[in-house]
Amino acid sequence: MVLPLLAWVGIGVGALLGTMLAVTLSWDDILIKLQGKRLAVLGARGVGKTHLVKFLTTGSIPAEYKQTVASEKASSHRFQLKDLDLKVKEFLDVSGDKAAYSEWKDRYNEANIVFYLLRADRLIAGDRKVEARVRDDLRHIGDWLESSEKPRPRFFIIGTHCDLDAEFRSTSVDKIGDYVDKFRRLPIVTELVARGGGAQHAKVVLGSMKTVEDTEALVYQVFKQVAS
Amino acid sequence: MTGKFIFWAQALDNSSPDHFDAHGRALEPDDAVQRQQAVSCVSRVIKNGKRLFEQSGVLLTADAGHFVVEVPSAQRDSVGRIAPIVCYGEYDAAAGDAQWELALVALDDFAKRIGRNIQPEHFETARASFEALKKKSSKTKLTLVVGVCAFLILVIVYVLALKKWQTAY
Repeated sequence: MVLPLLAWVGIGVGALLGTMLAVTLSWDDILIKLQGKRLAVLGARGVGKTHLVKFLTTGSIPAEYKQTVASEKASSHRFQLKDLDLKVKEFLDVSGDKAAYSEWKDRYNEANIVFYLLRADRLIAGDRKVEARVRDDLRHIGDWLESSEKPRPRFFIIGTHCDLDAEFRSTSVDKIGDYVDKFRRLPIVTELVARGGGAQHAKVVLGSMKTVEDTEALVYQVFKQVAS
Repeated sequence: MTGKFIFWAQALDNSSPDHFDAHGRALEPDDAVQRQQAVSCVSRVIKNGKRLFEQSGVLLTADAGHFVVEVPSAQRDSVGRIAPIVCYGEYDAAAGDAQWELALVALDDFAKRIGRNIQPEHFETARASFEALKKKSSKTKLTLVVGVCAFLILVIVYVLALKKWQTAY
């Protein structure tokens, strides 16, 4: 008499837990949790973090732009980009203010891949304010890199807004490599790469995110290196 | 009036430090610890809480005892982006409507202090977002009460069944 009652309670609890699990984790989520990469997208204000996050999680670019003050949850996403099958876990789009450094550190510590975005056009133009800011950012990131006990995440320095640089606009596709090399030789970029763990660990990628096609090309460049 | 909340807005020129006000006190740019703590409070709710409301640029996220509401200000930043103001606060599901009115008054006050203003329609949408949070809180309370009652009934049934089984054997 009692045992059947206990069995019914057990079945009830099991069914409840099962339903809760099914609601919380879809099969796709489980796959992404097993295979997907967790990203951290860091950088000062107005460098294109939200734009990149939106592209990575929806495949589109924002119709209207908004300052990112409070962080925003970006859902997990699986997509095909040319020959690449990309799986991105849920992550947070964070503020670019220095007050968010502790938040950046949390995201950095959780990530398998870290993208640090900067205004390449402003560095090329010799903007001292931008230089000071990226130097400060990389000083923090370098400290987290050294103090972390977990495996080092893949680290990418992504220079955006290259379309605002006249030289980039006039550079043909086959000469882009020379343009990137020239950028890497800028004293501030050399310093940043050194703080990011050296050329072996800190990869530099340049491009524009003006259109969906430009963004796609930039993301492809980055993930091609992630996959390699 | 502003003592219970944290307010946060990004500077419109995108280069000056963000505006912070925590528990009625403006946080200076060199007050890095307090500013980072304020950001952590907001992020904790965003990360662990649930988005309960999203309409006309007004976003409300809440966990069991805290909320974060983001309301667009009328001004745009130097590159034409929407410049929202974020308000973080504690809420008490059992307390009355006064806490929400207090939050709205404090939000308006902060916006004015940093030279911004919130358009009436966004103000009303923010009020509606608090209504959504109120509904969610009362629903949670009801679920909790029903859950506890169901558990008690199960225990009583089990005890009665056990007694019947013991008397039978």
